[in-house]
Amino acid sequence: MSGSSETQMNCETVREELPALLYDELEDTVRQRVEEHLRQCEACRAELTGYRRAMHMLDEWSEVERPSQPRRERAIRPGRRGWRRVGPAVVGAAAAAIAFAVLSLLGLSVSYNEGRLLLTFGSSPDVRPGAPDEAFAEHLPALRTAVQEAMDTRIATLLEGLETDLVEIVNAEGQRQLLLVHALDQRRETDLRQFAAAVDVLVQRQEEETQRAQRFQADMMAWRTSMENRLPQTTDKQEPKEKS
Amino acid sequence: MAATDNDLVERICRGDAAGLALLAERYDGEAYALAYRLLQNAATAEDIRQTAFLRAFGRLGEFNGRAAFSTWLFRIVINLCRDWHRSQRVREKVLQKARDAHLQEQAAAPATGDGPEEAEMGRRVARAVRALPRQAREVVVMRHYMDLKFTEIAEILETPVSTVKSRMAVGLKLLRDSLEDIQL
Repeated sequence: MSGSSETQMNCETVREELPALLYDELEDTVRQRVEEHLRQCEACRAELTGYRRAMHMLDEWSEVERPSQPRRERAIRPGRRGWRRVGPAVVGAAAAAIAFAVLSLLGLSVSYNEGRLLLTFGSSPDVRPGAPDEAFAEHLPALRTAVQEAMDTRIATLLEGLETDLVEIVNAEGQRQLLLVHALDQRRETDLRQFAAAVDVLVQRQEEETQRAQRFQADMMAWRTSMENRLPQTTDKQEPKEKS
Repeated sequence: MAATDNDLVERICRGDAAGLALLAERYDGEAYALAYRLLQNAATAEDIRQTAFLRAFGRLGEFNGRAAFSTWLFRIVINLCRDWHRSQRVREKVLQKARDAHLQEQAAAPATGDGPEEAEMGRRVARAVRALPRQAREVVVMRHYMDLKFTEIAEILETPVSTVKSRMAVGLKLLRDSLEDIQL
């Protein structure tokens, strides 16, 4: 029996391989058998022509739009069609944005000095991953005192003014006005108390946020430690490969 | 010589955070392009790109190195796109009708500017790709636009290569039928 009859392919098998033939992914032996079948089968040739036509039409849609970014031609990885319309500025900005977001989430610190981007884990003495929260926490008592003092002063001023007004009103318009002002006085005090309570809630929330950030930082440090514990095995294995 | 993806992953695991930025820069455009061509919505593709990187880097400890980093990342992008499709299916139907109506209006309007025929053809092809069944669309986008081999796609989708080729054939056949009036 000849080799060609042994390896004869039917239409169904050939059509399964047509996409791989079009994209040049068939091994030589399989490609030869597919091509041999195509020479003899008009229906499969027509199918291939249709697929090829569809493949060429796909090239008509080359644009990859990015939101609010200028588009420029660039082939960063030749042969990767998805890159063709992606501009370098877009890539740089997006990569930087990602890096900053990711690094912040992982408890890392990013700084820019003399044209170099510096990335450091939180253990460095120069780097404080939770810096904004810690800074806020440091100033929290002073802020609270300042708010309290401002409120005390304001309340005292209001009460003094109310007292003065009260005397004038009693003299001028009698008991009805007095009751009205008293009610207003009560209302103002209530508003101030509510305002003070709202400030307390905000301060409390900020404290909770600070604690949450500290817990997250601790988790990240634990994650980093676990990564470092895995290090010796992977490093030993990879070193020879890097040298080669 | 540029560091390989696995080198960068190891560097990150050793505490070299610069590897994160290098890996992100290396795959930023491809992750976005994959999401964009599957969803054809720039804002959503941008969200998915960012989420995919955050998820990938956040779970780097789970990356075992058996598959390529790109395979792992693209699988995350594909899964995010599928999740988005599931959550948006009903909403998308309504929006799609509105978009198609808008595009038909645009097509009916007198063409202006440079290369209107090319732009229109591109839009038609984009619509035809969007109309493909999800499985065929994923394979067509990854093979034709991302230039991934069928074996790589099979690994990303965790599907046999033969299935990937069949889906590609289905996609090409449907595209051929839906675009048969276009003169190349």
